[in-house]
Amino acid sequence: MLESLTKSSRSSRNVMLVALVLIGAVAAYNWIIAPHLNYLQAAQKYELTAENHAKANKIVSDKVEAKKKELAQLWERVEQASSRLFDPQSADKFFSGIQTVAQGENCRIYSSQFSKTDHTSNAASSQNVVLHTASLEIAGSYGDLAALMDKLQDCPQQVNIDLLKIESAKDDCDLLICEAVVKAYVIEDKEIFP
Amino acid sequence: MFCAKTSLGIDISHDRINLALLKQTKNGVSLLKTATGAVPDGAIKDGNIEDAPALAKAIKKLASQNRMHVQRSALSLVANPMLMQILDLPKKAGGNVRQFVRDEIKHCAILPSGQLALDFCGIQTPFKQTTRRTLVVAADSQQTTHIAHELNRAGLNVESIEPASLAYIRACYAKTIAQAIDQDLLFVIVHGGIITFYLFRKQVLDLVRIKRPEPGKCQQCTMESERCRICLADEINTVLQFYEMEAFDKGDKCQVKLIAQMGGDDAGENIESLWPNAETMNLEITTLEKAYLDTPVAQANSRDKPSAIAVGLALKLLDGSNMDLNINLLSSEVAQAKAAQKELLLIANAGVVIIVSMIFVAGLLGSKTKETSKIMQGEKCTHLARKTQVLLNEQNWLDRQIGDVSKTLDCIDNILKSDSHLNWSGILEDIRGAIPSGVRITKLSGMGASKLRLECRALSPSDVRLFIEMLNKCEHMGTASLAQTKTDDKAGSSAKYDIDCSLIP
Repeated sequence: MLESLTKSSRSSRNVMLVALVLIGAVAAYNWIIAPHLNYLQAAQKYELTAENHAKANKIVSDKVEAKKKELAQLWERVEQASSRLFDPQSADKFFSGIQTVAQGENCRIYSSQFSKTDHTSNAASSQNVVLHTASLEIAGSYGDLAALMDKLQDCPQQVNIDLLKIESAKDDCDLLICEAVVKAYVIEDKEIFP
Repeated sequence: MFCAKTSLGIDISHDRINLALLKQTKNGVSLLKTATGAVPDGAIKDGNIEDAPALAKAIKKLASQNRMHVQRSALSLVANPMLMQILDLPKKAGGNVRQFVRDEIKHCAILPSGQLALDFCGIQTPFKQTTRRTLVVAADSQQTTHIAHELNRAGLNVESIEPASLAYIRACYAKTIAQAIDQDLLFVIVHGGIITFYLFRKQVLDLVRIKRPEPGKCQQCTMESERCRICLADEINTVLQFYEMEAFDKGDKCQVKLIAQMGGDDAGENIESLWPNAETMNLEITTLEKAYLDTPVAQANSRDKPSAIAVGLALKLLDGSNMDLNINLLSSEVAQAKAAQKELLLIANAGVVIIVSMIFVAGLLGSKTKETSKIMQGEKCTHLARKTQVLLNEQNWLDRQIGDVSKTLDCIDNILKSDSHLNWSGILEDIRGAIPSGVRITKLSGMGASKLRLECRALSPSDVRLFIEMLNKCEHMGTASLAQTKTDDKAGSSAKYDIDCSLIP
């Protein structure tokens, strides 16, 4: 090879050798460097995608956290609101105890009529709220009737007294006859609240 | 360069190898090392190199033994026959001097018919002459090529080959020729079995002549032989006669310097005795061993006694001589091969550098790839995508939950707000506290959501007004106003009043 190189002209020899070195360099680049570079470029893109995913995750995660807080607040408000509603057991206890409460306040119940009305106004709501009413006719003094009203409404749940009517008894001026409708809202499945 | 510039002069005679390693310094040239060794048996025969590898090996061994680190070297020409002559260049030769010289050399009978190692250099023209002149040296190229090739293979990097006598002239030029401004000098150098004459007129080379042993009479010229000494004396006389004929100034005297390897102690005296007028002819005889004293590296107290020829050869590669006789018989093929080798080496080095760089870069990239692979093995992206999906599902579930809970809350709020919650015990207490003594309530009835009608009897309207006024101040009452007044004849003086009250939930 040296002889053939020596015999060839200087410029052609140089060109040939430089070309050989260049071809070798390019081939070595393609065989050794390029695969690594391609892999690293792919890894870089992969990393970029992962970063985007992480950013998206962060955003979604923040939103989820905010929504969790919002849901917790809503549950708290629902809890507070539902605390003013009776559950079926306490409602039964309340209405069955009216007679006793009235007697305790020196009042006499002449008549009582109980009824239930489904009061769910929003069909989409999962909760079933039922209005329990008791139409009462009670006899007692003014102070006793006021005390009885106080007793009936003195509970955590909301008790509404409606259509109140008080007038003197026909045969006894000191005795008052009171007609009232006691209303209590009962939530059927209160246990579902967290 | 960072290292000092050195060169090795290799003087080869028929029996001795002399080496001189010189170094270029700021103050000129200095001798580093010198070595002498024997020529291997059979390596040189009849003035020609017969066994170039053995000779190169011996030179390499000698250099190695004396720890001579050679950058480049110059070699004395060992070739028989060898042509050395001065040619007058005709004006028609013009710029194509090489071709003219080649044509002239072709007619020289002593040279072999094969390829020739040829070189020439222009020399100064003697006083009153106008023709251009050139010193031509030629020899069988095989003699130069083989030994140069072998020495290059041994790593001695031969860059120049020239006749030994010319190397001596270079070595002594500064101390002798350059000093002889108005003097003519005849150098007679006996080396390698041949006699070479150099005649310098006023520092200008005027004559070069080579005397070879006559075939059949003797093998080589040596001072040990009486016949050779007589022959030498005859030759010198011939040259001197020529000098006297050609002398510009008839009164000039030529100084003769004879440099030869003397066999015995009385050789010099024997030579002088050959001239009847030796005392008047200004003859100076020097042995080759003492010839170094005329060189720039000569030091009186030095133990090293280098070969003046080796010093002259080494000087050629350094900037230590002002002599303009520059002959190099290193064949162009060897020079080209060396250049090609250098280029090949350079390109190979470049290639190696590129490959090493690539390996280095590949190593770096490989380690980077490994790190990346480790990261990617954790399926980071897939895991993140999965997590994103989970988060999105959770977000959707939360949205649904929030919707449902909001509806539930709205439902409960609506239910609770739909019915006004009135504190009846407080209202009744308020009424009892507000009623004046002249007023008696007969009926109390709720009217709708937050309204109350009080039916009462009063003795005077002022009592009723007071009652209304008091009611308006009650905590659980919004406004109270008189709705209706009826006078009841049966009841006597009292009247019936209806008072409407709005209630505060």
